[in-house]
Amino acid sequence: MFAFLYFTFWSILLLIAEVLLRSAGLTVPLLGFFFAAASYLISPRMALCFALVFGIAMDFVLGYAVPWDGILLPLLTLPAFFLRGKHPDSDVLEFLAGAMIPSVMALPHIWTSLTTPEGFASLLMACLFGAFLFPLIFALVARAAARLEIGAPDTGKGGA
Amino acid sequence: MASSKPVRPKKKVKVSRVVLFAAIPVVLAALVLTGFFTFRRTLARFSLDFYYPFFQAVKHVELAAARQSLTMQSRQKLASAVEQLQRQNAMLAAQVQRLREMEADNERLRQELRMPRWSGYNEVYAEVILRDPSTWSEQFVISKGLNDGIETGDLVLTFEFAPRGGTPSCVLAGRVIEASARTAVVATVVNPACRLSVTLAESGANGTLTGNGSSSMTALISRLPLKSKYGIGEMVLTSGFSERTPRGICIGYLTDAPVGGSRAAVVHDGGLYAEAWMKPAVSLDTIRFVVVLTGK
Repeated sequence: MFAFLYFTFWSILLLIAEVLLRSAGLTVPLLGFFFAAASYLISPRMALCFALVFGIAMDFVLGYAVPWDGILLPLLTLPAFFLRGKHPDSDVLEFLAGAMIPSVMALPHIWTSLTTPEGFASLLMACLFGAFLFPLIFALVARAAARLEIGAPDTGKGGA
Repeated sequence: MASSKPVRPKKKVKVSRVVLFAAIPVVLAALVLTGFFTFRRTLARFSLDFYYPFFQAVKHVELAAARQSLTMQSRQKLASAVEQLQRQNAMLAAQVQRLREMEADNERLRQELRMPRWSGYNEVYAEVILRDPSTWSEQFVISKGLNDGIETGDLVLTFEFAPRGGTPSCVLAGRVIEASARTAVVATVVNPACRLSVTLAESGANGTLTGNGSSSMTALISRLPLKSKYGIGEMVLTSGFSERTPRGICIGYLTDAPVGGSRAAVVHDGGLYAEAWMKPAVSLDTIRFVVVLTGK
């Protein structure tokens, strides 16, 4: 129950933040970072469900006919189903995942992103920014999960 | 020796059963599609209205900051801006007066000719509250919706400011493609979802305009007559044939055809019609305020 409330609170807040950042011209997939981290550290199933609902909600808020975020956000939570309990020793992987998440989220517009200079610059910046932001979000979610005791026991990060 | 196998009598398949089996998937598909679109529309409206206060609050803060920054400017600069706005205001008031007289004349002539009464349009002023970098020039969300009389299909205008303090003119920015209680989604003229019937100002030819995407920042005008002559820079106007669309609003200007490297603006469309490319009259990237024309 507490994990559900935790997910709801942060999903609503991060959706607002992400949409406002997008409206300012910055593509920072905050929801993607959060769901990717929470799926590994808290609950992959709950992260999958929330990613689906809030992905669709974000598409509708921005007025898209095709809910691409509703498809791509749940995709980010899928690796957690295979990686649970296998925490890598190297933090480089977190940087790599952080850089990958913006490019996954940009898939529907990848042609524009790769063919126009502005699109490419924007994607590159998002990847660089993601590489540094994701480890930070991962650490914050891990700490919160441990403190609130909502993490999965098998990751060794979340407590009981 | 040929063995004599008993011949099974052929089963007669009833036509009504075949029709029933064919109808079931069609009805199911129709139900699923209807359910999906209803769910999509309801969820879209709910999402937009749920988050509206948060986005509006941020916009209020932005507006307050902009107002505060105005007070930082010199008195001389502010005085000259006020003077310029007063001049514009006087000119616009004179134009409105002239248009009112014309409207009254139009009404009288329509009555004399027993033509149906022209219902006209209401103008709703709105602010752009949301955009996405990936579709920055193609669509945006505005701060007014169904509660203010905005409906899907309404035209969205923006202003083109004349240099040296002349009166601003309205040009078409796009069309409302989705409306919730307090917000609406606008597809700009370069968005493929925006389709309009248009007229070319000099040749008088009519065609259909469809957005070509933000990568080219153009729109395609198809179904133009072959015999007319078209020139680069010719103004494109609304024809008034589309629903909820007044006639004569500037949309953009004809530009070079992107295919074939030709200098001509028009190429043949299968030999039956001609097609041309249009560049929008305003910069769609920088629109902040819009006017939506709603039916009276």
